Amino acid sequence: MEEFVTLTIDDQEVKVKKGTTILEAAKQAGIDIPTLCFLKEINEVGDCRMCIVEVEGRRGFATSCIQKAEEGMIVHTHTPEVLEARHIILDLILSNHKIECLTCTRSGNCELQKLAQKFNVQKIEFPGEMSKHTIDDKSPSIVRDFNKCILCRRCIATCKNVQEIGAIDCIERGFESCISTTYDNSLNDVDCTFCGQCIEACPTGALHEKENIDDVWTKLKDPDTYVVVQTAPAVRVALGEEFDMPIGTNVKGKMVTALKRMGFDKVFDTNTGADLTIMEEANEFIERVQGEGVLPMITSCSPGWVRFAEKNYGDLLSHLSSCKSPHQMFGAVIKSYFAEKYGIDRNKICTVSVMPCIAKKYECSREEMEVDGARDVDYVITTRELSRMIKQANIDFNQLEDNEFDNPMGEASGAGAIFGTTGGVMEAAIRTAVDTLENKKIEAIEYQEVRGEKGIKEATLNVAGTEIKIAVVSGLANAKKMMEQIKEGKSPYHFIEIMACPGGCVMGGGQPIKDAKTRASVDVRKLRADSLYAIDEKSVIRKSHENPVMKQLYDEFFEKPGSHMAHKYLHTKYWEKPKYELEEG
Amino acid sequence: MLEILEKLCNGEGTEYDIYRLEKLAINIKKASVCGLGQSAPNPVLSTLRYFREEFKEHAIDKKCRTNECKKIAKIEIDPEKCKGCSLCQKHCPVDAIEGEARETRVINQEKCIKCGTCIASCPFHAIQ
Repeated sequence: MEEFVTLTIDDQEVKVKKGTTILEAAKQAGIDIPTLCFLKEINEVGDCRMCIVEVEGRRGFATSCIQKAEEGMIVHTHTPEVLEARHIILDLILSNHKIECLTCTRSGNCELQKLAQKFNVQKIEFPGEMSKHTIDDKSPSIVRDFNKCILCRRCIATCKNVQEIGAIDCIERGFESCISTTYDNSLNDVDCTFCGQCIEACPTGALHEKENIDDVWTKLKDPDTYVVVQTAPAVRVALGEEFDMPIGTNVKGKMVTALKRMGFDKVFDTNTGADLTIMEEANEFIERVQGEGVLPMITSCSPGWVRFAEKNYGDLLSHLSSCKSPHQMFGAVIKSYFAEKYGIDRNKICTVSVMPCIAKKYECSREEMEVDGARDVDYVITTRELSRMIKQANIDFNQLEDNEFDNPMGEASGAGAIFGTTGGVMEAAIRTAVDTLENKKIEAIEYQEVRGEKGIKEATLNVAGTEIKIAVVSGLANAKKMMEQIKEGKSPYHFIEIMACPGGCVMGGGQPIKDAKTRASVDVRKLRADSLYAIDEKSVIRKSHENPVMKQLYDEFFEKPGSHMAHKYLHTKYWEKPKYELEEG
Repeated sequence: MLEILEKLCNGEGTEYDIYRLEKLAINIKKASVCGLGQSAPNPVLSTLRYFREEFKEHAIDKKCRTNECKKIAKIEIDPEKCKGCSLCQKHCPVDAIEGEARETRVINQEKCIKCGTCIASCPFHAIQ
């Protein structure tokens, strides 16, 4: 039986389960205690001390985010003493924060800024010496400006506990304290995978993506450049959030209209690229199962995961599918098949991908991601960057009419749509692989076993008399477990899907940032993922190989999956990379 | 806290700084988790309790009774008590004391480094 405790918070009696924190209990009583370093289930350390409350009979203030509620406790959350202390704590945090709100990317979505407003901070009470850090913008994905860091350690907790990478931690003591990497190197040169979960966790503007907005505007302005844009499945279910729509709203139609108004010559759907990935990946899987290929085969759509594997499991890279990720494949198709078919000089085409991911920025800059000198994808912008561009273009997003993706490559299957959530790639691949192996059309195509929020999901399928064991993994901590299993030779699986971000692309590092309060109260992942599954359910075509665009592509250009042409344009190689690339001396 | 204290010692503080300092010290003590944070403000709080007048002198009159705050300290020779013995002149490391033999000596404030050597050397306690 569960035990309950009763306590009084601000004269209200609350009954909560034993073990509940004062913060949680207060929430149940409708009291909103301010927090800053608190990130539910990730960073519960009582570091910033914004959430202090007075507990009668206790010396000093209690930190409500970690202090458990006890029977008969009498808590006050807004006595003059608490308010004064909280104000001073905020003043002290602000005194060492580079305040440039007007030009900060997080302005309006900054938890520190919101607190300053809440507490009516009208001046910096304790101006003084400020710590000085150089901005680290060496990597193609992440910019770190630690002059804005407030040392809440949410990024550290995310990197260390959720992803189990531990690329960053606190160095030095006291005033010199700062979040840094091994030997204080750039994120580019250490074991960071560019998953971007730290950006999602950061309450301020200390961490953000490396913007490519200006580059894209420049290309759009140039009349000689034919700019083609493609949008990832997870973008359409999150972009609306930047325009005050409910989490998970599918804004595909409005997004397409906005992109066309911004001046993109063609607006394509990465879902079509996803279908192509499935054609290749399912084929590769069948070849590996039927032949003597390396098993388990692991998906390679997530560039954060690929970088993780290259840095940590260099000897197991043969397990990775040689397929490029969907947007890279699609970029290659645009610059080859599409360019030829429509008689456009491929050197004049600029491909832009809108992605929920910042590791894709790194991926598109990888040397090998080009065919005959033409980069597959020229620029990657995140969902957040797209929302900023739409705002810059004076587009009233909420009022836009709906539009469809451009043809000839606008058709995509429902299987492509679910790529954006954990389990989606697996489900899509299985739909095609099963049909191919059994040589018939299977009606039951919803694989519930691979859906849901669990970090590791597994299922056993019986296909054409063979038992196929599959696993779906999201989050690099879980990926590590899988890889260790493979290393020991104990992996029972044939096919594993791995996504670097917990929850898959819908929770990627380039998605709209949700504050700690929203993350604690709403299952953002589920809302966005459900929206993707709804798209799949409504689709007429729900299997990649039934997409007419695929037939057209293979008939006219690639011949068949796994052909020489397909390998030239759609497949890639991986290299073992040193974990740290430290400079000598 | 240190920065506010230094400001006061340099004669650049105001009464508001004393208020700020006290508020800060009290709240650091109350809101800290660790013992260091809870006790680090104690020296400030106890000096504020027992020597508040001196804090005020620093802020309002820009004066330091003990001449410990070198920036605002001012050492002067009382002409009534000075017998012109020249001992202070001999001891001064920077030759800041001026005056002819058997005359009352005067400290050149621009040269003086407020080291206090002259105070110790004066047999008539004429220097303060």
